[in-house]
Amino acid sequence: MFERISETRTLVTIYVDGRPVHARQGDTVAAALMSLKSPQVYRLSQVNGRPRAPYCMIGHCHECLVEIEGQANQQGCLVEVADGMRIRRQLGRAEVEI
Amino acid sequence: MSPELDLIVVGGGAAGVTATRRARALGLKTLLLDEQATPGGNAYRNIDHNSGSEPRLTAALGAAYLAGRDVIGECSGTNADNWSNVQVWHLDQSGMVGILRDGRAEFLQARRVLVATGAMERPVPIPGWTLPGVMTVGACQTLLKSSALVPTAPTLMAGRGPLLLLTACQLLALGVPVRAVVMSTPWWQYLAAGLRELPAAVRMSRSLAEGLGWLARLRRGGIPVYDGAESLSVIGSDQATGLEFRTGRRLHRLDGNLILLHEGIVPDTSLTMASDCDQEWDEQQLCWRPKTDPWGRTSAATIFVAGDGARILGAAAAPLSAALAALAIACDLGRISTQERDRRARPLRTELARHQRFRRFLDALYPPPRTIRGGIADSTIICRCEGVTAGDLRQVIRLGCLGPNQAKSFTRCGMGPCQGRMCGLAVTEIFASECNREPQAVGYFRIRPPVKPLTLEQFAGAAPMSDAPLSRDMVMLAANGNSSRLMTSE
Repeated sequence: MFERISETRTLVTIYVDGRPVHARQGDTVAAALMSLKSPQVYRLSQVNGRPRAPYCMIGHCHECLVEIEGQANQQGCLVEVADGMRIRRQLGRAEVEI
Repeated sequence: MSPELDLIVVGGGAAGVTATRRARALGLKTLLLDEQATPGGNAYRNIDHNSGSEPRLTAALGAAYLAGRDVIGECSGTNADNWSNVQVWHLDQSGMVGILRDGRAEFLQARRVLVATGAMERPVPIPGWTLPGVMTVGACQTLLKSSALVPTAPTLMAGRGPLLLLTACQLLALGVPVRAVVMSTPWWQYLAAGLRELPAAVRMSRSLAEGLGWLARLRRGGIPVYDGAESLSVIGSDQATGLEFRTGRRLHRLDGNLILLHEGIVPDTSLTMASDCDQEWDEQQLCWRPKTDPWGRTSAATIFVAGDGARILGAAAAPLSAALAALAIACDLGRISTQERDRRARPLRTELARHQRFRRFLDALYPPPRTIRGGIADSTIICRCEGVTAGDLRQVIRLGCLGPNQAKSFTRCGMGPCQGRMCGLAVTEIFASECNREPQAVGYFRIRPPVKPLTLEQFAGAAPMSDAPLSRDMVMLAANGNSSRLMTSE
């Protein structure tokens, strides 16, 4: 849904659900995910399973929650990507191992 | 702990950066905390990078954005006194600030704290606003400034306010397929506002001309502009596919996969509320703002607020309220006399008054939507996090629910990760309408720390580092693990 008008910043590789994709240095995780053609679904609500996507991009709405380096519920719009960063989408309720 | 700090400034936008610079010049040991990677706030986001190496983007973003270079200046990057990528999750009246930095939580302490956390776009619940493909105008502009990303999908922009028109022009300049701009203010609003507040506006003629220029540019660019749109509703099941609205008796249905909404901006009150600073309901702007004295001091002697977080006056006015706060804090801490403070404040106040008069014009031009009070359909989602509708709220109100905090217990409204940031204003207004009470009497959610997601592990790691007594809320938090919901995946 979004494309870049400038490619001046350094290319980095991030892993989304294990798949390597490109992002640019200085991107937030949310921005990087929204620049991709796939996956199209950003996350599924843990309450009702409905698709959701970032809404405010400045840290208020918490619609961009995503797992970063194994830590769940990170605000994707506030965390910058780093080369090799591992990101997992949160698709509905999490499974908790007891 | 760092008891030797005179001042902690929260927020690295126009207000925070200016206050920091002024405070240091007045001899105050000052620490600047910013949530972003680089200073600039939202108005001047990524200014350092964009003004240097992105000529096409710079041209589209325009002169008002570039003015940020002078405001933000050399205050770039993280160093010993300017910390970036820091989240503030706690503030109390003792001057204790709970932060999260590099994944570690810790407490800092200063004699004074200046909250310069700015504004957020007013969340206005409409049918379909939770669908992917719907975001705020500001969100789209953030993607542009921070990542040079522009929409490729057919785009519709709807709502009111300067940011809507400015962003539409920026997207137009970059060749983005904006299909229509749907204004929820009627055209005669311009005349009415113009006549009433024009003298003030004329004194800010550059800003006035800029605003009029935006509309002209959109029309020249061939973008249809609808005026006086009502009953906005996003169409789609799993993804936005269009926007429906009425103008007078006519029903319009436009196709588009990216719907950008904007209904003006309101102060971000998270931290001033979390620290129990008195708030007042602004009936003109339909929002809460912290009560302050003319220096930006809140009801707590230790906590100041400047910039749009105190009252919406725009990025150009933010350095003025910030400089006033810095003077008052320096005077508090004995660096300057009251005479010196007042003398230096005089020109700042004159300039600030000009901005206040222009803001009155803008407020008359783009009054906030009056439809929230009573005008939201029962089926519309109010609380995005928990999926609570206006009907759910009205039902518990009919059952005798006393206010927003009880509604939270009854319905989970406001209990999700955003902690009521998206639904809070609407909840207050729905209560006001249903119970026929003033919003001030209805009140707001009780905002408790942590105001940002924090894991119990992080919190546990932070607590022992503090030798100051924890506030009641913090002890409660530690005792019953209220924050666990925020950190475990639900």
